[in-house]
Amino acid sequence: MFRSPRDTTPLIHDLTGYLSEVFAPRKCVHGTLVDVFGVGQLVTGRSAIGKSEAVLGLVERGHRLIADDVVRIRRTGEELLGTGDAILGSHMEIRGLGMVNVPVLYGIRSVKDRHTVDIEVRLVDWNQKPDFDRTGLDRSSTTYLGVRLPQIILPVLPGRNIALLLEVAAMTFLLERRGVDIPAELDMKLIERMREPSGG
Amino acid sequence: MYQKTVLVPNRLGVHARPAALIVKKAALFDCDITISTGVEEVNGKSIMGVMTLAAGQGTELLISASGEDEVPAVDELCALVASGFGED
Repeated sequence: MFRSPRDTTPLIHDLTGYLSEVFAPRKCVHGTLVDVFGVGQLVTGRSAIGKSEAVLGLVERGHRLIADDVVRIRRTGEELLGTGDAILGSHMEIRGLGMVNVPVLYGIRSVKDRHTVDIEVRLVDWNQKPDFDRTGLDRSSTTYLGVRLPQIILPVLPGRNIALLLEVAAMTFLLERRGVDIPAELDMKLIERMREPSGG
Repeated sequence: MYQKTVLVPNRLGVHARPAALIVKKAALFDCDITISTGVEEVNGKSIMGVMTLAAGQGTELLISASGEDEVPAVDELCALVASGFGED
């Protein structure tokens, strides 16, 4: 039991916000969170597959790092919010170079404290899962803290420019959110063409 | 899954250098390894993760592994932590 000198309505309002923040379901994920064109991309995959290098490529292209390697996710309503560790969050480990400090190298605009988690991109070894999505017609999804998240499985191969592919994944996500589904449109055009009389 | 607890014995705790020793050792094994302080659980092969634990002297670490080589992985990691990383 407690008393407060404040008015009931604003107090209840603030308390509700505070309590839902404190008791929000949370989880710690091994991955990297980066804001690409406003899309919160959670990049996951086994250790040393190249998550940090890929995200460094994104930062170089002007995108913003939220957390590397340790992403703290909490659920707020139907959204997932990701943050990094206060001290370590803006650092990255690059194999062979050691720890780098992203905002010191790339400026303050290269980092961000928090961002929604909108999509997961899972980096996998090329030979690990032979049935990749070849059309984009069948999107898979995953679940964190009970929230469904679109998921892209991206096979990694030497020479593949992962940062570039992550950018395309973000743009595709933005298009789909606006109802533009490129693979479905292409498939429709193809089916229409096959329906046309072949002429002769 | 195989797991064991170990106390951090050295004065400075798991700072950057011990964290590097832990992840180097962990990388030698194929199994998935997690390290937990009870507050937080991180991937044992991620140096940023291990540093995030901020495990000071006297912290009890729970080292868990699952996979073919889980037993030697946990045993060797526990031995490394118990050795104090060659520090006082």
